[in-house]
Amino acid sequence: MPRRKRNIVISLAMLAGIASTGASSAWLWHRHDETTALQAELASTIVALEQATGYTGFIHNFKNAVLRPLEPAYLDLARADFTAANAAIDRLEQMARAEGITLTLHTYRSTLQRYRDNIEALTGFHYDSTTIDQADAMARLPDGAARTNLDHLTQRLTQHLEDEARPLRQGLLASLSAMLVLITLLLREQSYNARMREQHVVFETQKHLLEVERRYRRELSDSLAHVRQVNREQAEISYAISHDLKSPANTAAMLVGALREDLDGTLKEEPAELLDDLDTTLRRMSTLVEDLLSYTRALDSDLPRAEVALDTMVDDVLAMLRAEIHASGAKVQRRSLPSFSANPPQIRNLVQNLLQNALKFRRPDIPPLIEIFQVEAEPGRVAFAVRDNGIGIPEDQQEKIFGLFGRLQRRDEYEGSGLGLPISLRIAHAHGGNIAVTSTPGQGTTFTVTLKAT
Amino acid sequence: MIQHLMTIDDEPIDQKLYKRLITRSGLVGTLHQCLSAEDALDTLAQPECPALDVILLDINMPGMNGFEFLEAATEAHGDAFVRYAVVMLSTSTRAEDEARARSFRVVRDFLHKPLTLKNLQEIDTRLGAGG
Repeated sequence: MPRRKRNIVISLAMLAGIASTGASSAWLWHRHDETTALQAELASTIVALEQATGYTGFIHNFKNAVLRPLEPAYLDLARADFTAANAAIDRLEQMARAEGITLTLHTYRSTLQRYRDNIEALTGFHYDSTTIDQADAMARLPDGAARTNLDHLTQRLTQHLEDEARPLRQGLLASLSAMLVLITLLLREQSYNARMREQHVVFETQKHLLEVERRYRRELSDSLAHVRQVNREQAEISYAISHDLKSPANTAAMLVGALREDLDGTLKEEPAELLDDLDTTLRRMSTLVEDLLSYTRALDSDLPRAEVALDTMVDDVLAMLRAEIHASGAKVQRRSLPSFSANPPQIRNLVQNLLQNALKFRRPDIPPLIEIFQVEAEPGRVAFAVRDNGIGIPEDQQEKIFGLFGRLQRRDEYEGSGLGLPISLRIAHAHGGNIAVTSTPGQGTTFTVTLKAT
Repeated sequence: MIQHLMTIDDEPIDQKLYKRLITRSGLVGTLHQCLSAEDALDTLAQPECPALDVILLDINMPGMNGFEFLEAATEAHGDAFVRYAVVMLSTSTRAEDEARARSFRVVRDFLHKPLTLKNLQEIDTRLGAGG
């Protein structure tokens, strides 16, 4: 059965329970009320009987009638008391019968009757004060048996009524308790259900959100896989194209060389200049193809790694750049450099690009001062910086220099393919790192390379 | 006959070849060569700068590129700084570059590099026919 339906059934059952316990409580209450009324009536009837017969009633008046024969009013009062007492006895017997008690007040009634007879005997009879003893004898009838008779019946009746009231009281208590328990349970059930409904809504919402998230994640992962695939294919194509361009470019350069050799000395000024330009253009093309290959290859982060001692690597690069350093009168200052695990050819390429840039983009008026040093990095990273005193880069151009062919300078002023920094950035990325630049135009530039230290 | 023609291109060798072609064609009176857009703007700002008939403009240049030049020149001189501007596109140029170039009113024509004698003759013809 569905939860909701079950809850409704449970609630209805509880309501029915509350209604029935309520009805039985009302009935028991009513019955108990009746019994209590009977008990009260019994008590008041007994009191009435005692008043009618006791020293304020019948006996009192009877004695006065005997002692004061000149005042016949007492006789009348005694007679009235007698009638009231008899009525009370009738009522008690009636109550006893109604309760199924067979006992009667016969003894009591006959004792009372004897008093009554004596009263009648006194009527028209003359006493004087000397006859008090005689009068006393008439008024003092033995009534022990009568009293026992009344006590007996009263006790039985009281007992009987109490026996009747007790289970009613107990039943009423049980019934009310049951009702209370059921009401409590119903309230609890309702608040529990309300809470459950709330939680159910929350749960459903969460489920829905999870579902949406899962779907998005799947789509994202699909897209990512697709992007990776496309990227890989593009890289392969770029690699193939640049690789295949390299060989005709080299061949063309060789052809120009051969042509120049054959025509040496025979050419006029203009054709000789054209041939020089052709040679320059072809060499630039070779460089471009070479750099494009580096750029394509730098995407690969799975290249083999080895321990790179940056100090030694900088030695090598500076040795290679010796001619340019000498020509420009550059001074290179270095502090101790870190060692880390990386792909050596790539790191070499990166260091070479940065040092070459520092040499290339110098100010014409002063000799270059180049510093290379280790920089503090967060744990798990290694960092070094190359600082120059060159022409600097305006702040709004600093992002452009890392873009493909993002040259800021004219080729006739600063030679290069415009790929050096994009290649370097790719290499840093492939090593889980980055390159940051700070620069003041006309004062110099600092490139800070951060790599993941593995 | 084109009285005043300006070429704006950062490639020295390309400039050399423009000069050779233009000189040999005999179609141009005076040739003004600028190796950067900044140079060209400076030249335009000179009081002795003659009224230019044609500008051959390269797009991809370091510093200020061809589009930026068109914006700056239009802002400084209105549409009157040249009668006939031609944008030279390299073969790899994307379609959006062409669309962007068309948004300038002074841009009357496009040509793909390299510049040929036929290109020059066509420009001369159209200029003679009133642009």
